Amino acid sequence: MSPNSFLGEFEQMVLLAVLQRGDGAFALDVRREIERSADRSVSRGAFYTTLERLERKGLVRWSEDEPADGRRGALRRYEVTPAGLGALRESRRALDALSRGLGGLLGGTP
Amino acid sequence: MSATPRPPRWAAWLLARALPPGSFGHSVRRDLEAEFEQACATGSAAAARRWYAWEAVKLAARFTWEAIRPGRGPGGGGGMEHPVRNVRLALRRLGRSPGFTVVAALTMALGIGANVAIFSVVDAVLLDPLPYRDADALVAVYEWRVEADNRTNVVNPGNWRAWRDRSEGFASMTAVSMLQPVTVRHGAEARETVVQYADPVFFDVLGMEAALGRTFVSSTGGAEGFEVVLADDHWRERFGADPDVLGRSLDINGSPAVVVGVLPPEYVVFGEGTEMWVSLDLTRGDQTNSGRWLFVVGRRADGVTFEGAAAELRTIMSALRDEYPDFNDGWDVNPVPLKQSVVGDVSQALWILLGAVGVLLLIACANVANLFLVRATERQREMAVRTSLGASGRALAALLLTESFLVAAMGAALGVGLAYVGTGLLAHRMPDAFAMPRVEAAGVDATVLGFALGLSALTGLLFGLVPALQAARTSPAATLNAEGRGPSRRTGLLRNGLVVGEVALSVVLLAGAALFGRSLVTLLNVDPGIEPDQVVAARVNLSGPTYGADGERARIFDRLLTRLEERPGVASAGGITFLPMDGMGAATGLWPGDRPPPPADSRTAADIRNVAGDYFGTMGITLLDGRVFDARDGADGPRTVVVSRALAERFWPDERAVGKPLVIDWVDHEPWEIVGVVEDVHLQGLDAQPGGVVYHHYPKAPFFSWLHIVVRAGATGEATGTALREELDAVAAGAPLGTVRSMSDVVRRSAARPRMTTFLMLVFAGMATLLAAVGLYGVLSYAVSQRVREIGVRIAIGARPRDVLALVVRQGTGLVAVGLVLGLGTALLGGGVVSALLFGIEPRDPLALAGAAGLLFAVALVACVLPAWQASRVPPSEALRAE
Repeated sequence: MSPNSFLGEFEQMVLLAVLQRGDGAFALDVRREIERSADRSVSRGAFYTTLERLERKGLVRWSEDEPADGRRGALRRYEVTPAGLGALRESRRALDALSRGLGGLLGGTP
Repeated sequence: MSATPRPPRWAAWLLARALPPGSFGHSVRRDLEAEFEQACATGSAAAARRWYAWEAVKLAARFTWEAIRPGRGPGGGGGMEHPVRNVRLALRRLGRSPGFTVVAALTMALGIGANVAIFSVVDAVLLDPLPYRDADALVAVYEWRVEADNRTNVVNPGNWRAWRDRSEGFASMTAVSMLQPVTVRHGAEARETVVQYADPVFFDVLGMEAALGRTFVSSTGGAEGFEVVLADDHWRERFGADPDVLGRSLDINGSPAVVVGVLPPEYVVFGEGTEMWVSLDLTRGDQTNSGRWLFVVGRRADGVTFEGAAAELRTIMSALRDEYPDFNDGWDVNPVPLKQSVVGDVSQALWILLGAVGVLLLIACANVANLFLVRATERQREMAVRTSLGASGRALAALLLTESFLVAAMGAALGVGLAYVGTGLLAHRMPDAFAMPRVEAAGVDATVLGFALGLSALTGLLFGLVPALQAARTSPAATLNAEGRGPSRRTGLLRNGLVVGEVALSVVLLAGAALFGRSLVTLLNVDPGIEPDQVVAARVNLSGPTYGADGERARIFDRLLTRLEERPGVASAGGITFLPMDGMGAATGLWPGDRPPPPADSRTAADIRNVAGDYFGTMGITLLDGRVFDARDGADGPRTVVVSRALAERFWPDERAVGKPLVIDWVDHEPWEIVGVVEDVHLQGLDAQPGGVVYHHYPKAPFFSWLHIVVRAGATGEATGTALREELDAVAAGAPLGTVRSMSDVVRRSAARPRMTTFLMLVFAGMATLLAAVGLYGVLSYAVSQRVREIGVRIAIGARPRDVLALVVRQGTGLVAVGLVLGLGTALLGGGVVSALLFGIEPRDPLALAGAAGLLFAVALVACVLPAWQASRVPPSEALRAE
């Protein structure tokens, strides 16, 4: 990804949720993870379009299990690519730099 | 284990179309199916299906939006809100249902066409200012005969001159005579011509310029004779539109005259039917030597209000009463804004017609709104899908509004075409039938086009708004889950309400038409006092020195009538100075000769007619007492008169009038002896009460140079006209013969305006009823199509076709009954609006109202029975297979 393109907030949340679920996270579980951690409902439309965009940018990749018997198809498992990790770090660094000295305002200790 | 529940197929289909092609799309669908299976495992399958459908719609919407949002997805750009795209889309949607589009556009064309047609007449007759410079400053000034409450009496030349010279509120004041038939010779040809004698500044005061040559500069024109200005149509008809007509010499009643100009084809006030204007010094007449025979027009001075000018005139008239008590007692002055005086008595009929077509338009709008609602119901799915695909409710409403505006525009275009043809027919082919001033000016012009444009926008909004709002509120999930079970309850109520409204408005129009119709029938059933069938009339004017003294003229008429009666097929012939119901006449004051003369302001006025030959027999006027004129009443005979029943009963209610003396304020005050009493004749039209009439014998009192010759004959009017021409040539070679008319036409024409109003009301009410019936039919047949399954079940479990028929008819007649009650209530409350136009019946006439309600109910019943019959023939098997 080009260095001058930041990740959007929701993109960061999706990437972080994939990481949280560990390697080979189901999309269903990723979405639930975001809802649980962020304590807000996430529309499938927003989620999947973001996931597709991350995939197009090469920040996530996926694999499929062999379809089990009686199943109509396997579910995709997602993982964050090295480029995705790099983008997350980049965003994180920028945010940290911008937040420095604002702990009193933001209520954290970065 | 039962079969695995599956998500709704349509939702899966929708998702497959909306998600990006390829494996990503597949994966999203698989995720959703996995969640669906979990939901099925934990809850009811139905709830899971609903959930899946809703989620699928939202996903589809989101991905569609991603695809088309500007600058984002592939090929993005341009949402639904784009107006050009909307028009394209709307045109495509309309094109896909041509039946709907044609019916809707035609309905609007009827409504808009009728409105544009009537509006163009209203615009020409009522709204367009008179075609004169600063026409609002012009005032018509009449004399007002207080006792008879005749507020529009013509004016005495001396009074006019006094008003003109003493008034400061008027910058100028001019006069023109009543229409006069004269003999105009042009080369060898002599012709009856209708002229008006005009004050030389008449056209200057109006602000009218000649189209060719000039208007008047002098009253006599010196050696060449009187100056003459031609009316446009007379110039075209008699002079072949010859531009060299200027300077042409004419002979008017034996006096030389010269053509100085031709007027533009515009309305000349007080001059309907006038063929030429002759400049004349009108100031020679005064209160002592001349009666009342002028129309007066004044132009207000700058800064003077109408009220101020009117008050000043009343003061002057008060002085004139003191100066000429014999002549002016009992008279006042009545100034009226010129426009009001020209259109006054037709404006009400026109406004009512405009109201009627407005109601018709409302009905058309209700019908088209109904069509749109049906269509919206049928396409709710499409709308839901469009919503899911990212169209906002507002965008959908915009799309539907665009469609309705397009339909309204098509209707307006068609309607303007209809109106163009319609006004052409009304105003140009039948100006006589319309009997309105300035109606020839009616046509489709910029104002009328603007009106049509505004009207189509308004109607588009009117019938498009309801379905559009409906669409804007549509919840796709509810719609998609309803799986086409028909319209919502609210839509059904709305459509029923529209039908009820249509029925109510149609009843109002029908009631109006029925009232006018009954009034017209009453009017036409008035006994005119004459038997006009088989009587033809034509005026013969023996003016000028050719025919010598009055006695010679009377002898020529006598010979003419005798020769006519000798012709085979002619039953009788006579003559009269002014035909009944032909607009003009002469009148004066009179009193019984055996009583002292009453003061001038309380004298009874009566019409004066001079008759010759067998006038009473020819016209079929009944002799009630005494005798009619015969050879005894010649020029050297006694002073005898025949009077009408009204006059006899007024002066001698309990005695025979025959033998009594009558003093007539005309020429001298010597008494005349009444020798006969005849039945009343409607001289002023069928709707006017007949007043008193005094008949002189023409040989004894040849006050006028002309007679209308009336002939009763078995032959056709044309043959009788030929006979008249031949006999006139035999007794007075070259004497002009006026237009030959049948007396029936004269009577019919006097009722032309109520006939036209009634005709138009009937047409509009008929159209309204038809539209209401179509609307009712549409609502019912749609309801039937939605209930096919229910009806099938009813039939399957034993309902007879008759029961089904009754079921549907009951639904329809229920709506009609509500509409009828509302409509009749409105007609009862609003009847007063038309009362001034009614003759002989009350606006709450029960027969007319009941007739209107009955007719509408009958038509509505037909509209109900058709869909009901279809419903009763539903085969149960098919009905149950329907879904």
